[in-house]
Amino acid sequence: MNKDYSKYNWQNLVEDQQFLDWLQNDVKPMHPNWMELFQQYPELKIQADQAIEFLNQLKFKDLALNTKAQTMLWERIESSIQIGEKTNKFKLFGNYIWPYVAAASILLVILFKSVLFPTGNVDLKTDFAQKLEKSLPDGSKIEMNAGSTLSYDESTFKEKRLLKLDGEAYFSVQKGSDFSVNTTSGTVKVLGTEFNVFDREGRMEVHCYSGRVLVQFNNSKETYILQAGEKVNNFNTETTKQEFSTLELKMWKDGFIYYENADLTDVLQEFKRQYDLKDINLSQELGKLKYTGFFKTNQREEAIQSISLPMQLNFEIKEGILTVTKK
Amino acid sequence: MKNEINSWNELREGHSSALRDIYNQFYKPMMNYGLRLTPNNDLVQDCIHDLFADLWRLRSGLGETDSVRNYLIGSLRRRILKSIQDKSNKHSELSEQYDREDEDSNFEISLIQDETNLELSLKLQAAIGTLSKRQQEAIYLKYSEGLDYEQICETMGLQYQSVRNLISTGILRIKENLLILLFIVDNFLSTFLKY
Repeated sequence: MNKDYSKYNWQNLVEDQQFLDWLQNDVKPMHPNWMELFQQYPELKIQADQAIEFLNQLKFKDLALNTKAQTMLWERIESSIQIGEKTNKFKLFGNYIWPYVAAASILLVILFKSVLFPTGNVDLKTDFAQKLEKSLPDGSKIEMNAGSTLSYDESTFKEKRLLKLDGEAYFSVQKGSDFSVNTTSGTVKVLGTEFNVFDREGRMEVHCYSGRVLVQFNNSKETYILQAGEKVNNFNTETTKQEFSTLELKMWKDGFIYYENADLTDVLQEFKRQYDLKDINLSQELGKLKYTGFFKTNQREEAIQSISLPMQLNFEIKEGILTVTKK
Repeated sequence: MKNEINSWNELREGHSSALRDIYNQFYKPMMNYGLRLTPNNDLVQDCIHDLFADLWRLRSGLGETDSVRNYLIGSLRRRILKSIQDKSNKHSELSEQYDREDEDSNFEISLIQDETNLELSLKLQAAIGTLSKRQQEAIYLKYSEGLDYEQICETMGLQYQSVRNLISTGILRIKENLLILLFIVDNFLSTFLKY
């Protein structure tokens, strides 16, 4: 059932399940190879860009929901479940008690051990081409991008939520006391929210996805309070605060990295981290070219084409070294 | 994607932590969808409560699924529509109440306003306002919840072709109302293709 993609317009693409799956990184063996099709039909690439722009505009507003209601409803569900469970209690006890006892004793040993020998500092590190998801002791979640380190003190974390970050990470923070992230360029402080911190080579950028975030840079006395949808950027003592576009919501943690008018040097530095390259061969002149678009973090060939095609460049990777030349 | 299927299978094996994981992952999308079917917050919460209590009670009889989201959204929809119907039957003598409940169950979608392009955002919102409630619901399920056509058929209880038509004519309508969008996109593309 091959479709005639040469006649596809952006509206056909918006309705095409396989195209949407491809955008969501959900590619099945039967699906077309879109990158090949784009090369075959340049017009289709233009239509695809329009389709993506349309889908990005079609962002539905989340209704105001509070986390308190979420917790309260869960408590209600839990208590209904427990009432229902009581009638089954005997059976549960008879059949399943032994595994529980075993689990409990293992748990006891582990607890005992950690009381005797407090673990203290935890260091998390991601290598190039690697990502890491982890829950913190207070239930907050973090996702670390490639080539980053994060450390905290496990024994005191619940009382004092403080982390040190070098690189980039996304935080989804449980409500509670202050939660701070220190980097070499500044500090981010929050109460219960989702945000992204980027701090590499002297450039620090914070995106706030929900709740509110307080940011202080080491090279400036001013503090910045970000609302959801705002970002602040600090480089060479220059600080700018602005709203970020919905396109930027597609980010590294979803397998996309999006750039708007960024220097090719910066784009390729991230590319190098994502695909674990040794080095990049790029002239200064080409490095200053501006790139707008996205690349995927899990398919190298596609990622190369997404950058090289629109910019009309040649990419060649030999023994881990990327060389960029004009077409 | 894999996570939710894992949680689902753990739930079927009787792990209560899996129920909590599923709840936390889908509370927001379920509320967001439910509150578009009816503005009655308590009713949506009650339906979610019953749904999860039943999931736990009937866990050993649950089958495999390839989309937990689709299962939850579809189940929530049936429960909400049924309680709205039950309610309006009870109050059928109070015709005023009936009318209001009926009117309230309309599906409406609102978009995030893109402040950098407010004019376009408002135009898009206006264009969506001209769609029928069913078109809005189908488009919401497809582009916000990410369901595929078959899953939308199941959820809304419609034939495949009707769903295709709802979405197709919906998008076409938006497009007609939005020639300006295309104009902007063309400009955007032609500037970036120059590099």
